[in-house]
Amino acid sequence: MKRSIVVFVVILILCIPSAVAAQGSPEGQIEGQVKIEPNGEGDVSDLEATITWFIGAKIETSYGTRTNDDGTFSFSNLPTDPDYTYFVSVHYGDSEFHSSPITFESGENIKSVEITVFPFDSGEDDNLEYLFAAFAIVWVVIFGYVLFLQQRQKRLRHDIETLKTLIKEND
Amino acid sequence: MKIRGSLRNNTLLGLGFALMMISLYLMFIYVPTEKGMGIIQRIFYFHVPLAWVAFLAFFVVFITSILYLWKRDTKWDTLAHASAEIGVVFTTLVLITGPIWARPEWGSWWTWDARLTSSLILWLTYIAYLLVRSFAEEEEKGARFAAVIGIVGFINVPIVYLSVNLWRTQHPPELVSDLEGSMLLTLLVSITTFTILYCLLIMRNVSLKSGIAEVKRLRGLLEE
Repeated sequence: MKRSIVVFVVILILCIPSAVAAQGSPEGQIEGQVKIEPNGEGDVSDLEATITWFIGAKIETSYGTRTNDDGTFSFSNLPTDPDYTYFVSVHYGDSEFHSSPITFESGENIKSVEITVFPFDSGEDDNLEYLFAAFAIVWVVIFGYVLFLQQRQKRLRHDIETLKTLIKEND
Repeated sequence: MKIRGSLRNNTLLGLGFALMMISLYLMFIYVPTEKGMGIIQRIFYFHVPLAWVAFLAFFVVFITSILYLWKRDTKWDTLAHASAEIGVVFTTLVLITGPIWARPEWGSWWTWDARLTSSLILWLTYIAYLLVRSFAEEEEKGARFAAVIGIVGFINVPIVYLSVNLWRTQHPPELVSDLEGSMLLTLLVSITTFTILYCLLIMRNVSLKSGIAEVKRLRGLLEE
């Protein structure tokens, strides 16, 4: 009996690590990098990055950190259970930019993510060149036309004077 | 008479310049950015006035062409010719600014929808008007043919205007009555400015066309 209890305890002790591994040990890490569009120029330091994780559709928890000078950030001590799905969001300007869903595969404990942010009104700024082009073309064409009329008028005045002089001479 | 004409010209020029400055202020500083389209919507404040002036110019061609065919007075023909030329310049600008607006909004420079296609036909019609005049062997004959084109071609103007209501088009419908107060004010000031510009251009162009006629007359006298 005593022997069987010892065997049982030994088996139990041997099973603990695999049971813990199956649960997903909190040793996962998500490393991230914030990139800025359209040309990579802009300050991506000290931005608020938040990680949220779900089990199924249920939000488990979320917490935040701030990006380093180069736009990198890291979340550690995360459960690596494949049932857990993580999302990272970065607050930039007035907008939130989200990562794709992140899941640890079995045996994996580090994941990398890249989040691209862009100024909220970048679309408007891009269109400024269209507005400028339209405006410039309108005035270049109108001034060009006025100049053309003026030049022709000048030539005509000269022609009229010349013709009048010739007529006078003929008379 | 000459002094009065010059005074009228200078007054219009001064008024036009002042209104142009006010228009620029209204277009780019005063009027709020439209929420849906953003900053590109500001093209509206000169795209629509350009179209308005083009329609006005072709309306003048229509009336003066009728008067020319009826009275056979060359002053009406001169006015029609001058107005058609300005109408073509302004329609060209409408056809340039429209695609510049369309590109960021629709993702393409051009689409063969009713408004755009009828506008292109309008432009081609008045290009034909100018070509008929310049290629006609007899000036009087050219003026008569052009007058017919000027009258028939004007039928397209209401078609262009109503096309957005008659057919399903990508071009937005006329929503002037729905404009917010500051937007309507900006549009109206801009329309007034471009109308004054049209008046200045027509005066200058008529004077030029009269000058051309005078040169022809003097050459005739010299040849005799």
